[in-house]
Amino acid sequence: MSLSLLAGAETQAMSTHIANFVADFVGLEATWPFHALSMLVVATVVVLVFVTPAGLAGIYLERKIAGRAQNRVGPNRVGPYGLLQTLADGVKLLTKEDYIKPGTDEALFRFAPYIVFLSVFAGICVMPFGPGLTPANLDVGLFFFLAMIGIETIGIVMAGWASNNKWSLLGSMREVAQVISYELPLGLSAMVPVIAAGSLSLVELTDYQQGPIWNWFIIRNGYYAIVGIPAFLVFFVSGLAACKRAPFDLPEAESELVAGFHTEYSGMRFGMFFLPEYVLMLTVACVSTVLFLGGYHDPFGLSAEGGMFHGVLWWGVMWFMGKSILSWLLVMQLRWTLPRLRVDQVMYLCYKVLLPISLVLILLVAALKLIEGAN
Amino acid sequence: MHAEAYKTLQDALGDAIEEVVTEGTQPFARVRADSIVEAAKTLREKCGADMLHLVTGTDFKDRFEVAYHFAGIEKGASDFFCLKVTLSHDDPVLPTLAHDWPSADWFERETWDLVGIRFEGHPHHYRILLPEDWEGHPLRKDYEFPTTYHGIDCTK
Amino acid sequence: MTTIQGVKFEGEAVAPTLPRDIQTDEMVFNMGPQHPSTHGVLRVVVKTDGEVVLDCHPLIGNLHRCAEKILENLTYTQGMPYVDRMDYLGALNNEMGLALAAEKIAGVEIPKRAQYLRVIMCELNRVISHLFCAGQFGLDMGAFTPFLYMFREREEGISLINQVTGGRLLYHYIRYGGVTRDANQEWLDAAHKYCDVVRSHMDEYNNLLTYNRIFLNRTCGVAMIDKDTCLRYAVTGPILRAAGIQRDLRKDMPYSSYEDFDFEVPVGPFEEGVVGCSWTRHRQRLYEIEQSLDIVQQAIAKIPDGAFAHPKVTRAWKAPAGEAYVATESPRGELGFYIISDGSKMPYRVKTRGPSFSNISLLGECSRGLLIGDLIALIGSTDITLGEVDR
Repeated sequence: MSLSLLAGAETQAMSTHIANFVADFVGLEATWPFHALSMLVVATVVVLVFVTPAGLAGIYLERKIAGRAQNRVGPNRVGPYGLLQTLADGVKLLTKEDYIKPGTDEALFRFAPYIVFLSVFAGICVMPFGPGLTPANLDVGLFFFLAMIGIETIGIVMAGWASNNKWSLLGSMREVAQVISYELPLGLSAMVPVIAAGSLSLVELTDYQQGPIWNWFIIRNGYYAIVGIPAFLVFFVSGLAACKRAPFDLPEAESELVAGFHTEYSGMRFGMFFLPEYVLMLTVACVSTVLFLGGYHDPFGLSAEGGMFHGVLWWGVMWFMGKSILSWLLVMQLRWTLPRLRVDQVMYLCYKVLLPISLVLILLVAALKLIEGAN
Repeated sequence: MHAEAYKTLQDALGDAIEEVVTEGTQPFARVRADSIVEAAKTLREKCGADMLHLVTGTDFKDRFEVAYHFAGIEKGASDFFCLKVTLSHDDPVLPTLAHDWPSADWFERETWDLVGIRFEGHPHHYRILLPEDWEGHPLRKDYEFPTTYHGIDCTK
Repeated sequence: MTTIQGVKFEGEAVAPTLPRDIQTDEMVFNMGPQHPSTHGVLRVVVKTDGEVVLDCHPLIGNLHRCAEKILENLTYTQGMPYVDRMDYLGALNNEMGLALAAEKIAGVEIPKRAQYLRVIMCELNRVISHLFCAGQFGLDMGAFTPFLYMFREREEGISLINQVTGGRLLYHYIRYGGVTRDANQEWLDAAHKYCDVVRSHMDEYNNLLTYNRIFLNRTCGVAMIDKDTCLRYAVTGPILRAAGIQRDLRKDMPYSSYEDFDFEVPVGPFEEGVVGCSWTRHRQRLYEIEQSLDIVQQAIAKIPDGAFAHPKVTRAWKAPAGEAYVATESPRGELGFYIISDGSKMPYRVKTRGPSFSNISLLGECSRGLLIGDLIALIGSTDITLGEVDR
């Protein structure tokens, strides 16, 4: 049980501390069950502390941005500036009738939202939010993230199938078609910085971009820009498709499929689809920050080795969240600007445009790496 | 313009044109029921009517009348052509135009639905606006409003 | 012909798009009456093979309100408000049609000022109706924001009409013999200014929606309605003009002094797309907005002084015995009123030709082989109002 693998330095220190404290309290040796449990607690707390409020804030931001984009005010009644609107809606969702219509496959219907919820929240566990602040520092973090958004699809297909509604079924089938088309360019464009850095670990990918802005992969050393910028764009566009966001919101295309795969879901079960959607958006924004925009490193090269700035933790966290939220906002702005693509156009874009581009980019980055090595 | 068109009709169909009115606010040619398909065809081929604009059924208590309004779109005709058919009140039936003029499909279904005029040979001869199980044809002058619908009292 | 769920389907199925060795089943969807994109209570039964529409069958009548029966049982003046409810997005155009038909039987000459007021109101009504439709079409294509941009100007237009007519959507403004209220110079100036405002926003709509690359991809060459189909199914209005036929009743059979105004009828194709595709229909409506604004401004500039209603036409007015069919150019197409009068105080028979009724009847033929997303484009770009389909 190599627990040290699973956590960043800060979170590991914290969990060791808790394990020792609890073991001391009950008068036992601090053996591995204590460490494992405290690790779990710490990871959960970090995820909950960072992610759930971020998801709620995202919903609020989205509404405000939509309002601004559409000459409206957006929520402004509940709490100051309408800040509590999302919470009020959460309460509303909780108190709504939990209706399951006759004819549904009940077990699958109940289970599907949990799969979506869990896989999305598991996906964000591997994000390096700050120096040493990684809930689960896996060697294959990027791979884990890609696997998790793959698993999310299973939840959506389950929801669509179990609903016993043709619109839901069509929505989930569209999701499947979309997944197999966007995952290729998404994975391949993510491979571009991976080849350059030589690691799948998100922490190592971040530290590879240590230093000022020209060390960030998107424009690394200047000449990496020829692969960095296109790879970022491909990743961003496929990421939009991964989040089921406009212009790729086909699985829930409101004007075509009523509400797509979650047509039959109401109350908190719907909330279990809704919140993960925003968290997934944040996850994709985080991954693009890690891969291309230098992770928690600031653009001035002020932070030391490992990302700490005079021993201050929040410095890195601030930069990481700042960069992620910026691309998150861009995703939202796109949602309120663009119409929706048609289902065959999404596949055309992914297979015939993005996939060849990302293949070429992989060749290019490999060549760059070789030349760099030769010099 | 009307006079010419209706004259052409008279020349082509002879006896089948019972009456031609070119004065007043609604000039028309009255056609025998069994010749309506041919009359419409003549109107299309010789007078440039290319769109069936409207089919109207009217209950005149002693008889039914069906009025067809045609428009000459490509020719840019400056008024509508009107053909009328008079039907007996007991058995209002006439041949359908739906095969030559697809727009007649819905118009004639509506006429059947609301006025109760049958169109022989119509491909979908069933109600269009009212429910399938509705009784009677509301635009007939002797139509009595139902007081119940599926056992629900509608009078209160 | 097959029967599914009590609905008869006709026509040969489109050749399946999948290889022969994959077993697939056809699926029947009920699109509507509660569906976001059927613009009301239209129910379309769609038979699909995956995403491909094999056949579709519009079922109407959910909003049937017995308009023709009601009109037969009310006096002429009482009947006027009921036609507002047919095409509730272009209500003034309905009133205009009914008034013109009855006035044609009676041979009433309407004062010039009343005719101009009718034109101004109807054209403003057309502008707000087309703004709604263009925005709604964007909404169907997944673009929410342009819809609300167009609603901003639409709202202003509604308030403007409201100031004179006293109604926001259903106006009861046009009466036999004229209109109910006169418009003062102040209001005419405001209307003139409003036209400039809308025109200044046209570029915004076009940049945001009409020439958006994704929107072009979604709509250009999609959901074709060609000239021949239009003629066969009696499809009129913007759809017919987008199919390349120069037909506008305001030009071809001028009524209510339309011959006084100088305007061009836009006819497809335009910069992008082809004749009869859904993009052309969308662009057609936006061009017609500009054209209507022109007409309004000309009418405001030329409006003569005088009475706004015929002095002899009173509330108890009735048409003499006779009959007349009048078709006018409503926002959705050629709106016809066929009135048969027996000289009594109530019309003997009023038959309405709602343009949407014919426009939606082609759905079965034109939708075969489309994807579901394209079917939405077809329904959205034909711009139907169910109140007018079902009456």
